[in-house]
Amino acid sequence: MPCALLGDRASGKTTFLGLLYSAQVKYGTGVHDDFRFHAPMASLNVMSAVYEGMKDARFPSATLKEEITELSFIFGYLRKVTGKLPYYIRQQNWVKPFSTLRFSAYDVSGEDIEEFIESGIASRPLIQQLLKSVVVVVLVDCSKMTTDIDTAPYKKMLRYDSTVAKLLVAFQTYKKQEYDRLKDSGVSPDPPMIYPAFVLSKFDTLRDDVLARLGLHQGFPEDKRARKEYAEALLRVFVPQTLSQIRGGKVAGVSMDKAAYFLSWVRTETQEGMEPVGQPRIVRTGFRPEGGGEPDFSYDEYVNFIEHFRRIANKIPDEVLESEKFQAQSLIRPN
Amino acid sequence: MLHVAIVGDRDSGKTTFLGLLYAALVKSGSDKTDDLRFHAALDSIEEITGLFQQLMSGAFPDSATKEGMHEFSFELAFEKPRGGVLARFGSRNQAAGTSTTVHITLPGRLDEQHHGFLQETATGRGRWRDALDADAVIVLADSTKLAPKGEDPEPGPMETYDGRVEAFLTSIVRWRARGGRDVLHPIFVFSKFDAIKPEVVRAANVEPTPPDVSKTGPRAVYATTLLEPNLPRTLAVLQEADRGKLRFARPSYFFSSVRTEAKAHGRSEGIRLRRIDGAGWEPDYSGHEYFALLEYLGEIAAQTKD
Repeated sequence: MPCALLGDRASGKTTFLGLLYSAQVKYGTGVHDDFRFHAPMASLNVMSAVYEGMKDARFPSATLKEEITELSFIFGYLRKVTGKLPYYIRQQNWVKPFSTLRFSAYDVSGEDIEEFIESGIASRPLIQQLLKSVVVVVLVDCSKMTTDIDTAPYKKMLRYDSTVAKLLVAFQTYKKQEYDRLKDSGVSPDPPMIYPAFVLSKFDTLRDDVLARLGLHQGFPEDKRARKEYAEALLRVFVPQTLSQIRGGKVAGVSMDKAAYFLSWVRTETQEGMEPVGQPRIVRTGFRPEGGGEPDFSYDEYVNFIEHFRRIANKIPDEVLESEKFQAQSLIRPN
Repeated sequence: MLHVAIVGDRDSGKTTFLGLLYAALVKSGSDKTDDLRFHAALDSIEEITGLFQQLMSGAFPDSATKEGMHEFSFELAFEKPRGGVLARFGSRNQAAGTSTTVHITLPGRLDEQHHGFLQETATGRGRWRDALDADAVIVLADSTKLAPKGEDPEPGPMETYDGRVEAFLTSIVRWRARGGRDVLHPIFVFSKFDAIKPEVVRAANVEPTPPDVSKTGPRAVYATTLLEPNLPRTLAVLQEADRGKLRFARPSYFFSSVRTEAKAHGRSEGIRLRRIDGAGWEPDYSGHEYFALLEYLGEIAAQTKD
């Protein structure tokens, strides 16, 4: 299942992926043992370098960021039924105890899919792959949320909103075209769906005065519904076009209603009364029985993010199979 | 699909009008509780988001944006019936739960049409051809150019424009005599209504603000009182008995205004932005008029589907 990761320049994309990797490592080695992940060598090389740097209190370097165009992980979720089977049986190949899901993140910008927006044709394989994404993760940089409309961050956010809205319309159009193509070829696919996930990155930098002016309290709520309302209250202000296109996806034939919201923050070292000099350093957790020396970040949010994919994984395979079936038919069809 | 054509004089605010219509869509379609949903078409999204950015930055559209903005397509749906001030569109049930494609064309300035188009020796091409087939025509009346009714035989500032709109509507009548849709919905939008000259309002003996959007009768009287001295030929075409196959629906009237403010460092004046409770900013414009217009377009779309 391809997953598109959209984020503005310096919105924390690499840090997000590094923290996701860090969460995967921790969650995948936990006592529950119901989540596994695997990464291809190229992705592993980059992510382990990012991970090492973070464990050394450093944010990802610009050189590392440039190396990322596509990153893949395979997530494996222990199936509920097989999880209850005895260990010996679970280990047998025929049991297939894990439902797997391929998380591929592409680093994309508006320009990357300009060709599709302008011509309606996606000729580059990477863009085709990207447009097939079933999950679209949108990073919204909270450090750019400002109530001062004459500032550069305000204008950057305006531009970012337009870019993401454009990308979402492109995803929706592509999905609808593919759906119509499948139908025309005699396949009966399910109505197309996109699962948007918003990550409020650098949430710790969201200023109190911004929250106060928007009538929001400090701190993200725990309750699922309250979380959604809180996040949407922020997004309605800073990315209204994006939100309107998600809401309107259904009327254009591609439902995008099942949006999920997550926070990302990583604590940085501050010295009281002094301005930080140079690149901030990441605070690391102390050593405890369950681990330590990790970046101090919103781990629970990342676990929620991983778990969110478990729910999607239960719904996606049919669509993927249909698509693969269609491609197979196309290959054997004589010209 | 609902085809809508927008015509207007030079600098009458056509592009700003379209941008504000999009702003109204974004505002009324981004909350879960909103009963409007819209989705922009891929071939319009680049231009319309660029225009939105300019308006939300407090700037009027620049010349490049005006040149590039020719159409805007979107899917529009109303999720449930609506009452209140917009109850006049009582058959909302027809549109509830269904969506329609709205294609808005900005064919250009009326003086750009080539001569043969108006004389019926040519049928026009491209966007002007789309305009001939429109379900609704939005005629922009630049309120800053409205003149009071007077004894002076001198031509008013809108006389030429009036002639062009009349010719355009007449060419639609001729075109539709051959076939096509048999109803055309004329919609008058008073652009820059906040800048109407006080003497025009005084001479017309009307209030400075139009009647509420729900009061269709008084609103029509108000609008025609202002339009009659300025667009008499246009109004006459709409009332002519002999129109062949084409029928004009009863005209609708909307009033657009956007507050401006002086920009620093000698830059030209820009759009004033206002805070909305818990929802950020938006241009300080007559949003309720735009929402009413969107409702009206939804209503026409429902009728067109029947």
